[in-house]
Amino acid sequence: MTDKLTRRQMAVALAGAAPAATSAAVPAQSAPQQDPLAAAREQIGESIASMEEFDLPMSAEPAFVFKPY
Amino acid sequence: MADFSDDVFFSSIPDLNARLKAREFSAKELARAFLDRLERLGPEYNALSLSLRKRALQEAEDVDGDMKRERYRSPLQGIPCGVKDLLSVGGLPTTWGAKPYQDLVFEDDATVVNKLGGAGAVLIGKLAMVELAGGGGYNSADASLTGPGLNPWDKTRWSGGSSSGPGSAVAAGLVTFAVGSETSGSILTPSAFCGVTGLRPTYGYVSRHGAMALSWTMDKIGPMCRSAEDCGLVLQEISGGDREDPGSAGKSFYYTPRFARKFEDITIGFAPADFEEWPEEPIRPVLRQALETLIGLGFKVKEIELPDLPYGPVTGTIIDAEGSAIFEPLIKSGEVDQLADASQIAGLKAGLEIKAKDYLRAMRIRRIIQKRFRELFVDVSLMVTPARFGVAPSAFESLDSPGPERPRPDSRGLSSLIPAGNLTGLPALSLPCGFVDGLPLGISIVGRPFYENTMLAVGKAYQQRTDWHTRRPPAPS
Repeated sequence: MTDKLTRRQMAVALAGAAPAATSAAVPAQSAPQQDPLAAAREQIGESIASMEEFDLPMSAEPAFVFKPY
Repeated sequence: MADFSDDVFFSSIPDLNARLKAREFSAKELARAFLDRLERLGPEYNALSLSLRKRALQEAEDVDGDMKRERYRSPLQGIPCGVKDLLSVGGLPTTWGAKPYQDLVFEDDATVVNKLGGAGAVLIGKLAMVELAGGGGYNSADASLTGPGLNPWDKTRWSGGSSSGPGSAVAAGLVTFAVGSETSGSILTPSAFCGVTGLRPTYGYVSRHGAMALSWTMDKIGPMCRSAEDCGLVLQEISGGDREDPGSAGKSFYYTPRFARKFEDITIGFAPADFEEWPEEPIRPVLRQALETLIGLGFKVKEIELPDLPYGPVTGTIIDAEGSAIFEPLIKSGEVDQLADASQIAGLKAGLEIKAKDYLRAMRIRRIIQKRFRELFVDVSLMVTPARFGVAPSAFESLDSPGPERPRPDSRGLSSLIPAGNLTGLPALSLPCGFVDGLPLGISIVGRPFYENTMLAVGKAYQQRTDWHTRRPPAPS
């Protein structure tokens, strides 16, 4: 059985995972009539939870490099 | 005084430059004609932030002097253009599309503005944008100091954002080309929705100095034009190393399509689901035809799918953390409450609460995403996917409004290529590829870092076989 997707759910799926802000292109996913700040915090919390599920090797370094000059 | 037909306003850069050199009209006459048009029609689409009439006419006069002496600077010489209002023009307001910054003035021009001037381009206007380039997340087209960006193809529809003004101004022939920016979709989206050709360059190719920062590690400045060729000519002039930009790649770009790789040596990766399942049903035939036309240029093809990685959470965390850090003074002062969009305000406030460990985790996963993309590019040189999976939405409803229900696609395809491509700093080119119900659609090509010359050669070849990029929106009433 396939699920049906609303446009909002489609936009969420396009962001690659659970609800997350991909600012400057896809609008924020706020639940209807929810306080915007609570909704924003919830969205960030979901992103963080999703990243915590990712099996990150200890050796993985951040994608920035400091150069001593 | 020259009489300008509509053809002039929709001309390509080389055509217009040739007519200037042939003295069909002067650069000053041309600038005046475009200024009149931009000032008259820009507000119809909420595309104009500030006309630069006095400065533009002086620049145009200088161009006329140079041309009289046959001192030719570049193909952009004398060409009227606009820049997104996050690029500073010294001594004049640079509003970032946001009420708290409506009186912000910088002393100096942004590096890109300097380079355009050095190339002889005539900067006629600052173009509208979504406030703070959509920093905290927004769900209304109205999230802008200048009001909702309206689409020249249908003024009840959104132009797309956050480079809303550049998209609509180029589409409506108010400027010959524009410079926009993208953190995650802000060139590709308005390009697709407005039927123009937009190039998001490789991260670091174009200096960010003098541009409002939303994300230090994801912001890219790029051209929005009427053709791939025009994008190549603009990128050639605005690219290059800049010590003032810590993210500068230190490389210049030279537009030489005849030295691009032969198409028969190139493998294009695509995902059938991107053309058969993800898009809204009425647009699928148009996108399929666009893919067939592209492949028909002689490429080898391979079906691919993006690795299952958390692109959205990583992109969102990085933009939220960096953006809120950049705008910390705005948030802590309370002036953030002056922004137009409640979601944006909330997103910026919440972003300040992101812990360093979570930001660092996102940046570490990003490194892994980069590695996985390098592996993908072993088998393919380009990826092709629809620029957006629908046409421009209404400009007067929440952008979060529920759309028609449809089955969940079985495959993820390349559907996350906008966040993923921006995370990995990859270049992308959006090409107009058709219409549905009078609204434009775009197909996008994503390449390896610094692969722009070949991508633009592909775009040029596609545009030699199609004419979508030459279409003009209805004349405004």
